[in-house]
Amino acid sequence: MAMSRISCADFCQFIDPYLDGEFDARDRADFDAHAASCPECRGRLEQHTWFQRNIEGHLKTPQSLPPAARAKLRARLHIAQTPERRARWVKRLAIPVPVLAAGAALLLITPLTGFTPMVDDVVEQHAQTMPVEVPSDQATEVDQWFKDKVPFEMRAPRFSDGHITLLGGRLSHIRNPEDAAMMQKAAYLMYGVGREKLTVLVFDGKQFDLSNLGTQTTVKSTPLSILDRGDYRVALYRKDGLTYAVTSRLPQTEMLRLVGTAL
Amino acid sequence: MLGNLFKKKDHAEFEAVAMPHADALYGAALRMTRDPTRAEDLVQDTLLRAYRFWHKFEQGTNIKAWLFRIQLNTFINKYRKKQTEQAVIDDRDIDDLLNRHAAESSTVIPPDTRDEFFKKVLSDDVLAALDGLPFDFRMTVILADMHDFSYKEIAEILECPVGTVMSRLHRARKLLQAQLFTYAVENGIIDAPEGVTADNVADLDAFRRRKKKVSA
Repeated sequence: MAMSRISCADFCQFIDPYLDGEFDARDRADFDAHAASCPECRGRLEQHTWFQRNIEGHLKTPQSLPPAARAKLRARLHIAQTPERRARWVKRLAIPVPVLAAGAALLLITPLTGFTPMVDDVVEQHAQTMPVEVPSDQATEVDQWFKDKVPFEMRAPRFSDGHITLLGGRLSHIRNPEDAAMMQKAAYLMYGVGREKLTVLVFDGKQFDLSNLGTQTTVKSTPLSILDRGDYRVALYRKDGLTYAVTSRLPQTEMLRLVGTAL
Repeated sequence: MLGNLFKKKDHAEFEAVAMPHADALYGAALRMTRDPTRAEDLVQDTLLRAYRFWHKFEQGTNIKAWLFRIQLNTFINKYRKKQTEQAVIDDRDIDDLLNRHAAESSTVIPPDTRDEFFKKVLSDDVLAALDGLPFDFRMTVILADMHDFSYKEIAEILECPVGTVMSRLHRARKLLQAQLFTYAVENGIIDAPEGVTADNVADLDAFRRRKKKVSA
């Protein structure tokens, strides 16, 4: 009988990839040879094979998403299908509902491709249809609400333009650039510009290097980074030690004009 | 193109390519959340997010793995604060548990009792044992044994090295065997081998209780 090229310890350690078909032909042959020459490992393999075959039979019991949940999902997808429908949906949900807001969960995105995670977070939160936690059109009132909720002195942008109205804010988070698994607190503000929504995420983002992001421009002596993400435009700037990420579907010139009124 | 995100063609494509995986996502969500209502919510959130980022999906790549990755991220972000079990038990604890209680030698199920074993251990018992595993271990079993993902795919979904997948799966399966063995002994389905008592089989719940007591 050929001498085994692997030890019993290796056999035990790698029994799962062997059974799961992860080995190439040569490794597989070595495993087969060891099992043929070692009764103990052969016993282990038999039990493991038997156990896995049976347990997978139990685990693979098919499950179906209940019809009501499927119908609800299709309805929500239908609403999200067109920008027009989406805008109406956003408008409806933008109505402040403080009671619902108190229990609202935050949903943040992890990028699946190589986009800047922070900008993806900003766009994702803009696209969300979560209600505000502090419904108010008064920036000072909103600033006050964020006191002790965020680790910085909150100052909502003061847009001096009659077309833009503050709708309120809610507590949010943004991923830490040094550790994507860590979140840092941020303030999320929602504004109405006619039928469009504009959001501003405010955070202490000194660790973000804005100069490497998107197209660089200057408005009223303040450097701005402008990025396009699909339907959305994001303008990032720093003011008084805080980072502001403004997002909307407005044309870039209109966005910059509005941002300029707050600088 | 990004601007085409919500056009009819994309909607139809999403319906044809992603929606057929709704049941698989739900099956996994049930085991991730251990709650049917939360599982439904998780699948809805997952597919809505996938829809929103449909333009980022590269045609020709593995749609199921992409959706499972989104579901895992959604779960971690949404339920992160509610997950307390990971703070109670971690990888080293699992090793301690398996080593201390000599799980392998104490859970050899005699060949002549094997037929009976899975006749009397029901799917619900298996699922309960799976639900009792720490999340990272449970997730590996869900992906490998419920959904037949390869180690490489699992590593991409969990964002960890293939070696970690292999080691977690190995330990998760050993724990699962030990848990079911304990259950079978306690319920008289099989006799405990000589020298094996309730104290020296790998009982994860008992271990959790002991740890909580020590840390209290």
